[in-house]
Amino acid sequence: MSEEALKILKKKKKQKRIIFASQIAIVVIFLLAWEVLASKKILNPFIFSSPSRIWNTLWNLFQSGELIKHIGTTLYEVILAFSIGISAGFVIAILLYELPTFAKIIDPFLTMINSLPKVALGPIIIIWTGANTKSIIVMALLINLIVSIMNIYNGFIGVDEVKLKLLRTLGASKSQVLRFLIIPESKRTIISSLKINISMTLIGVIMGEFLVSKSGIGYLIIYGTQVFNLTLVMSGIIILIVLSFLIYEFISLIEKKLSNQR
Amino acid sequence: MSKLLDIKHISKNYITESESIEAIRDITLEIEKGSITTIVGSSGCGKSSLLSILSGIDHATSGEFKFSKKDPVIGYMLQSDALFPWLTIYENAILGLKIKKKDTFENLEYVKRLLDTYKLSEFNDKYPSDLSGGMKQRVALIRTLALKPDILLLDEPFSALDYQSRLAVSDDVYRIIRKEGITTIMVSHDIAEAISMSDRVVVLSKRPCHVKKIYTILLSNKSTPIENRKAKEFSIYYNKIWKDLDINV
Ligand SMILES: Nc1ncnc2c1ncn2[C@@H]1O[C@H](COP(=O)(O)OP(=O)(O)OP(=O)(O)O)[C@@H](O)[C@H]1O
Ligand SMILES: [Mg+2]
Repeated sequence: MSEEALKILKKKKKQKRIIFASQIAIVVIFLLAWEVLASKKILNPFIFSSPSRIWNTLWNLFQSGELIKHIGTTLYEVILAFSIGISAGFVIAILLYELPTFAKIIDPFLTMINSLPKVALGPIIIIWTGANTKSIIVMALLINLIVSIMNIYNGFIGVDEVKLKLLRTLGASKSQVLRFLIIPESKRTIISSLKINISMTLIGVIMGEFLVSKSGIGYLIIYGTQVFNLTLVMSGIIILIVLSFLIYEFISLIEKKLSNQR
Repeated sequence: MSKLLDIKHISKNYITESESIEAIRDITLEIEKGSITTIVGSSGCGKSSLLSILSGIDHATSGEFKFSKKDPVIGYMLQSDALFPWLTIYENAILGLKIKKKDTFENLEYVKRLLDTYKLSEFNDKYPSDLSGGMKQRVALIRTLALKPDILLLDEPFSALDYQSRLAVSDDVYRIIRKEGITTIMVSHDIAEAISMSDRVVVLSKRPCHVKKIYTILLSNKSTPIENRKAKEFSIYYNKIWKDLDINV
């Protein structure tokens, strides 16, 4: 490598370090300021809690096994709703693609459902399916499924016209067109819809847990509010931040892996 | 020579929601077996429409065409190479065979031989993105040839290439077609390319297109397309066709 290139590389590395150090510093200063302001009673610790209180709560939750239980519940629901959402979205998108007239007929209804704030349906869902995991999954599906369908379907109809024509000249059947072109070509769209889908699923699951209030991080937050234990609420939010960050990173990893193999 | 294809009074109207477009008005043409015919015509006059009809993916509004052979295999090559980026070069080359369920050992060997002959076999496991435009076009041609077509329909096969590779690839393609002895109908908007590659040049009128003139290209020493451009009759044909096309610059 030339001297010049080394220099540029070094500069880039340095910049990266500065960025990372600043990010850490921001978190540390924020936590410190919060702690100090709360202990000096400038911030009312009853309402604003404090990092040390949150830490203690988290530690206690962890020792009693509650923490793992709630995270497990939420994670289980997220994985379930996510998998169902993606696979059902995929199958329905194929159906819509294969039945264009049907797709045109239900298009306005899909748009209508899509633009409806799904929370509004929460209470009905609970009455219909009972206050249990099922209603949480239904809630999450309501939010992620339509988005999945639309994303994947748009990927399908956005397929390269020329390749489609080519397959037609080769006399390809409908299922061959799907297998040889539509599915491989929209793999990218499907992969990129994973990220949107996981965010939507998380929203749906937490919303469902708010409503059902049995277990999970959403429950933890709602319960904390009900007994006015703001430290518990904040703890729940922090777990949620970390959890959704980790899930998002995990999906990014999958996305990278999948899009590397053509 | 014997006749392979007889096109009689073909017309084509496209009907859209807002209008009816008359693209082709009464085209009659005979295609000899083993010949190369190039169709030239102004932009949007209906050349691609004609090939689509001959390929069977579209229907004529009226008129008919008949092959002298029963169930002819038609090879249709489009403007862009339309290689599938997620398939290797080899997988791309055998795509047609796979779809038609003709991927027998013998046919696969034939594809391997073609790839070998046209200096592509070292790229068998590579992907289209690793190849130059000209190489991709050759792979697309091999994908078409793999089916051993009775007739080859080429719709501006080189228009996506830069001038240099265009000359080289058209030379290659010409050699391949001649060697395999395949009857070819090509569409081109390049008069020089048309003259240098074909036995006949068909000039179409503006839309709605009909056959305006047919030139049988007779060059004093017919050779490869690049060499043909040096023939003394070349410029005469060029000027005539240029006039026929009535291009207002
Ligand atoms: N599917 C279609 N529906 C409606 N109109 C069409 C359709 N296909 C082609 N046309 C119209 O028919 C006419 C001829 O089109 P065609 O593509 O055959 O021309 P072309 O000679 O191949 O043009 P180009 O030189 O641009 O390739 C054009 O006016 C085009 O707009
Ligand atoms: Mg065209």
